[in-house]
Amino acid sequence: MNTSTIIEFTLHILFGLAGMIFVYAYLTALLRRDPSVRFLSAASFSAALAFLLSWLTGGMYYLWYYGPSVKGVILGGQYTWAHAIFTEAKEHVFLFLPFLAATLYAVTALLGDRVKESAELKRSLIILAGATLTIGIAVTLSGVLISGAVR
Amino acid sequence: MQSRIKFAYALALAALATVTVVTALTVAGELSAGFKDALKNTFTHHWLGKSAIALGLFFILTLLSYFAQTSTDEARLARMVRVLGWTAACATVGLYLFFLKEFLH
Repeated sequence: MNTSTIIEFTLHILFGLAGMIFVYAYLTALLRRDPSVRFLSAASFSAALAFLLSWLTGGMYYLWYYGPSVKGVILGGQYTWAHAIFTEAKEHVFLFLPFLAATLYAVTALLGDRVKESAELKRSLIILAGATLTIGIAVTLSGVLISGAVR
Repeated sequence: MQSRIKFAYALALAALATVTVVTALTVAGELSAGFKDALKNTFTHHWLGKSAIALGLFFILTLLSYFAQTSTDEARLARMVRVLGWTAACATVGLYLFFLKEFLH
């Protein structure tokens, strides 16, 4: 693994984790009785941006290093299921995250105080943020499992 | 406020369509080698193809849906956001189960 690949891989993980932390912050803030719309907008915008950057850096790593160098190692070892199930699912499910976070941001920023005043809208955003966080956790755990399979 | 609700609704609808299309393209690519090859030949890699289609579809559908909508309201937007959350969660479970099934076969 050369320096640029290490940087791409590290940034992919850091941006992905940052995105998860921002979604978690959004969800916990939204669950409060009187959430700050400014904080919710900032958290969801940061999450969308972080997932977008994680997508870009992860894509570079996946196309230029994982495919040519790592995939064969996993498929040649005892843990072929790690690639066949978890990499295959992760690489596609990840594509949902930037769009889900962008929707959280757009609804929050465009509707402002209505997000906390309307119980129905607030409930819907809690479901969306909860789904985004759960998907993010599944993707993160898949990444950990794939890394373990390579070793 | 009406145009803000309209834009938020258009974006949520585009996100819902994107999640659905990415899931469908992924399953179709696994079931049809020819389709996966077509994506690969067009975009150099099937994943790059799905990424480009997802981005393009999201932007185009947001604009189309925004200008095509005659009226919408907050309750409809809330429903759309809820449907998006559940659809993404179900698509995630579905894709993991699909790849598990493919591996076992």
